[in-house]
Amino acid sequence: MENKIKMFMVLASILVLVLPIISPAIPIRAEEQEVYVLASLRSDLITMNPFMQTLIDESNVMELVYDTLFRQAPNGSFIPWLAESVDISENGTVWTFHIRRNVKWHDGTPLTAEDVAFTLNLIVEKRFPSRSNVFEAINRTELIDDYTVRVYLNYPYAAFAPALSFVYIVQKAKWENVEDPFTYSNFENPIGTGPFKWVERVAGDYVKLAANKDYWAGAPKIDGVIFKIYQSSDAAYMAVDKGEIDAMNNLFIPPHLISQAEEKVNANPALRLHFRKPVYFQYITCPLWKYPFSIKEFREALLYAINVSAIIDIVYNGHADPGSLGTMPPVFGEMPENWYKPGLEKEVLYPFNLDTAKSILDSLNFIDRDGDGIRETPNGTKLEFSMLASSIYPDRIRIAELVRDWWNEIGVKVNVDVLDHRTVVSTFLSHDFDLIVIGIWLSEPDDWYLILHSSGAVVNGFNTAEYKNSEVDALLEQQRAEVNIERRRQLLWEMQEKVAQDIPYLSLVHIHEAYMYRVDKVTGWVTSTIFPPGNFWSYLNLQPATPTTPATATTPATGTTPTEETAPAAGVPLEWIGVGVVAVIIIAVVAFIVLRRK
Amino acid sequence: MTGVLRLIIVKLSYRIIILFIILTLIFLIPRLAPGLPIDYLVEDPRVPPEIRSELMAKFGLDKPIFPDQYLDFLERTILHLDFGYSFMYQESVFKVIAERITWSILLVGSALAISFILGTCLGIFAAWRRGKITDYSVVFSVLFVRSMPVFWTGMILLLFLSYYYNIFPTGGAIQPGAKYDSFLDYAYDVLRHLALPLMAIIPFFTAKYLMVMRNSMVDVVTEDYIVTAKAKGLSDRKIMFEHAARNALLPVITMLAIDIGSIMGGAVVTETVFSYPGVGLLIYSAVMNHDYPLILGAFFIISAVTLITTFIAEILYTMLDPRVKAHEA
Amino acid sequence: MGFLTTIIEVLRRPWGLIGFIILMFFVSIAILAPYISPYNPWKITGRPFSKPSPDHLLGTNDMGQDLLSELLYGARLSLMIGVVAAVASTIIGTVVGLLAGFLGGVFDRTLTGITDVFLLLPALPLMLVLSVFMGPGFFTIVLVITVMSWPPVARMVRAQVLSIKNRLYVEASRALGAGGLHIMFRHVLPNIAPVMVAIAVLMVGEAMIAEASLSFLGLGDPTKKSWGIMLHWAFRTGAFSFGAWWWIVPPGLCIALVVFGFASLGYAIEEVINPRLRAGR
Repeated sequence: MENKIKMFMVLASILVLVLPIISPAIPIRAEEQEVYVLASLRSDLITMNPFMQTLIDESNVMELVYDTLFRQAPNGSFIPWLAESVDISENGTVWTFHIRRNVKWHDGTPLTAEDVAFTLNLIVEKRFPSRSNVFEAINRTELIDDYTVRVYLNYPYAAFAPALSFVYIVQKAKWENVEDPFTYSNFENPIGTGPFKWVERVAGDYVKLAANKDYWAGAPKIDGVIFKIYQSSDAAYMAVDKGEIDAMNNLFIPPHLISQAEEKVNANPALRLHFRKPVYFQYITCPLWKYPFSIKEFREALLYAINVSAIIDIVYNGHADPGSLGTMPPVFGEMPENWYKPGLEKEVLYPFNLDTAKSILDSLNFIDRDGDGIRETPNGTKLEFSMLASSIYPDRIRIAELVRDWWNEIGVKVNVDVLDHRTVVSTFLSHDFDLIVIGIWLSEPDDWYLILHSSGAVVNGFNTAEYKNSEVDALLEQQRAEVNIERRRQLLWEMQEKVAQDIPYLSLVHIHEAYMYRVDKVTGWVTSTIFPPGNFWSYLNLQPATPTTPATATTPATGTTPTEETAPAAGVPLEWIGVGVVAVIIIAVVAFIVLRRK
Repeated sequence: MTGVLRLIIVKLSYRIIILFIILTLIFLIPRLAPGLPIDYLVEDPRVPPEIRSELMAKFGLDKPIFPDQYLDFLERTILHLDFGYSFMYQESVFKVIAERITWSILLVGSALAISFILGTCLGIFAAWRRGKITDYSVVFSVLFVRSMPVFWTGMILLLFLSYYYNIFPTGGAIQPGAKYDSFLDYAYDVLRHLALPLMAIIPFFTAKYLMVMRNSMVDVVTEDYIVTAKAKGLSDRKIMFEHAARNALLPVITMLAIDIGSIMGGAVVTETVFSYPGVGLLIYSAVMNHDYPLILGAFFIISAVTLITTFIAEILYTMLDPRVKAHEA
Repeated sequence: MGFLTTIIEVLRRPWGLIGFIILMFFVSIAILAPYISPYNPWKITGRPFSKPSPDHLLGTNDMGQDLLSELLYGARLSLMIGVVAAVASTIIGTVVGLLAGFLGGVFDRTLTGITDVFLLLPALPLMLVLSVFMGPGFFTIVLVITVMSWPPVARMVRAQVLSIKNRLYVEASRALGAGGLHIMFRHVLPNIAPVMVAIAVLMVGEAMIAEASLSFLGLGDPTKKSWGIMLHWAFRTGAFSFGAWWWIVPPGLCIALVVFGFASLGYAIEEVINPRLRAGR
């Protein structure tokens, strides 16, 4: 019997040893001197389908695999990229793109205007939700010759170039055979014209890209890029510090750790710190159609009782800009176009002052009549509100808690409800809530159309305050059609002033993101205020820190063999399944009862 | 043998009924819950209505719930192992789970194997020294180890072994982009990444098996036949291993069978702490993203595997243990 | 054995005594928190991420709130959730187990079936789904833990009832014409009551770990103070990379101690009421 136990233990240990063998395909390769740059991702890619892209993580990978007609340069302006040049008609509605001639797909075939026209037509035809700004603007496309394509717009569209910077040009030969472009995941060998080729993805772990040696703008000097997924910014920060990866990307250093990071950078010459000011707007939204939020003086009182400097100090450790009531982030002021109207900051117009807030509430006759510390409106409703914050953003929860305490002091009671992100977003889009602390990414001034134009004041629109001002509407429409930068700036500035007068949103802060990256393996990072260190321009420019002899061995075949989706067998009629299932269950029940009785 | 056969049929049919109930629940939950799964798409304000109905049709949500959707659901799940389409990944649920499952099998499977061996051996040891100081110290440490939340043990391990002393990587399953000279190299890399998560969960499972093994041993030792054997003058050691351990192992095996089913669910908390790309992490993100098909598909697979493993365990149990009466279903 | 003698028996065992002392210690902390805490844990009393100092013995959190005060106040919610959830699941499990074991027949089969379905579903993932669905809060956490914890209790109670039912005296009183309810309350319930107490005590620990795990994964209410929520904030705001062991170690240690306290107390109770019972689990 002792032997049996021994035997059992031997079997168990064999099991332990065998387990690694059944784990995913093992890449065994000869040692090569290859330099891959490693950067972090915040979440797994959901798709490589360029038309269904919604995550920043996905666009980080796609912008390397695919090319676009325009790209955003490090200084923030949009420059023609796959288009060598663009002719725009006098009225701004006809755009003629001259496509570069020396561009090759990753499979070696040349890119032509036909591919470009195909891509644009597919978006117009299928109306992919995430590319609505493109299909709404485009009327039709016209193929002039192999390297020229003309696009007719429905209206003059100033932000067409920025919109096109998210239109990844796909290969016609491949995509015309795709049955359902909505659900096609495109993980099996996505072919683009970008500087990096798709190699592999280990779901939930990493994505690997290899340099495209035939890239038209010059081959990247590194051998590839690997994006590794981390569950928290903390983990990504530690990974850079330890040298597991070269740069943080999408995950930035928690604000309170920045001073520690600065010490690390000072102590270790291999480390660098980069601050980015994303085009990001953090605010509290309340529905303007709901009493008492409909009263502008009430919102002013609320603004007076928000201490933005304390938020910046406590929650962001000083690394944020105070919010502008014009709702645009100050980083726009650092770009050549200068869309930002200064002087509309909340702290300038409504400096933190609880007494002012109280006296405004008094004058509105919002008085605490029953002595419970909460004011009532003249008709007796208590000023008690729910403030939602999403559970995945610690900073928003902390802001909600701070604001709750300040407003409590002026007699406005707030209950902070922390819900999961999806629920918060769907409540946000339902427009039926009291208060939500939210942040929104808008990359181009034209995107403010979404949150300020009255057309967005419908359920599921982003104008969650249901803000309606015909003058602002008109300004937004004019700037959209204004191709001249000077004149467009005037319109946008005027719009920001108008919005700051109406205060539809309680602006809070525009955060700065701190990224750590390494220079011991590769050098030549292109740093820009609007990008993280790992951006398109960096990856194109990076080179090994110590020159290595180029590897003679060819890169291993990228062959992830496409797996055939087995079509569901259409043969079995539905009724038979039903009958079969019912029969099995009846037999099971009968067998159970009969045999059990004995 | 007819007795055993009948028992097998009873147990099997009972399980089919249970599985069917679970299947029906899985069908009903997202359809009866407020906020249809289609919410995921409706949420995007820019989805035009015609696309929305097209997508509704694609997911089969435009047909009446009963019988069309239900029969369709049964056909897909039972015949094609098709649990629908993950909203989040736009990919078949089965495929999404399959992509991650190997890592969970590796992590939880090896943790279970190691814990099982450690737990039973230590359990026999403690029972042998029953009532002595060794027994008490083993039981004491086991109770304490089981009292620590697994995620916290993980955090502490991460803090000390990875952050303060750079011994193990901070997370992930393999070093991305690494080149391996040989299989050994690869295995080493996998094990290096596996070490911390394993260290976090092994104590938990070991403690669990140890406790059951010890108590079951103590129980068996007081049985009549062991007492008889003792009276006959057989040596302690012989009794321990030849008679007691064999019978005492049965409840531990039953427990192992249930835990094997949980392999499929991965280790949610551990995988989150260590960014380990298994099914647990997948389920966590599916929950956070309200990806109903993925959650329910995972639930079904976990329950089905648990049913199968416990079924096998029970049959083995019956065959090995004469004391188990056939009428217990 | 009388109630008092049982208690004395339990406390005479080293396990029972150790468990009791630990629990008394934490219960008094929970009760006295407002008096012994150096600060109000909701007030900002220092710079965020301060290291331990005479002002803040365990440093401060990401808001500048005192961590020691958070720890002391945290005992309240953590213990409360553990106890309430454990009691609730013991009651539900006992009722289901009693009914199933006592009534037998179709009733038994249905209830056992339901219990089996619950036992099969993966616990933590299901808890995640339920809490996302219901939104965070005290009630949600208690309910979610209860839903996943009653089935094992039901199963154990049913087995107990069956074995008691088969004993002679029940047969005898039935022969004498005693009603079902009478048998249940007179014979069955008193016999399983001690087991229920032991189960409930052990369950508190499990419920506390479940609470901590859910809170850690961000499904608790992060505006409240519990040990799990403290660890959640530590994990989310970078206490790791900061090397803030003074923030990470104490809450986990407190959880481990309290759970250990409940486990050893439960173990002692089991040993007293029935030395052979342990194998039943």
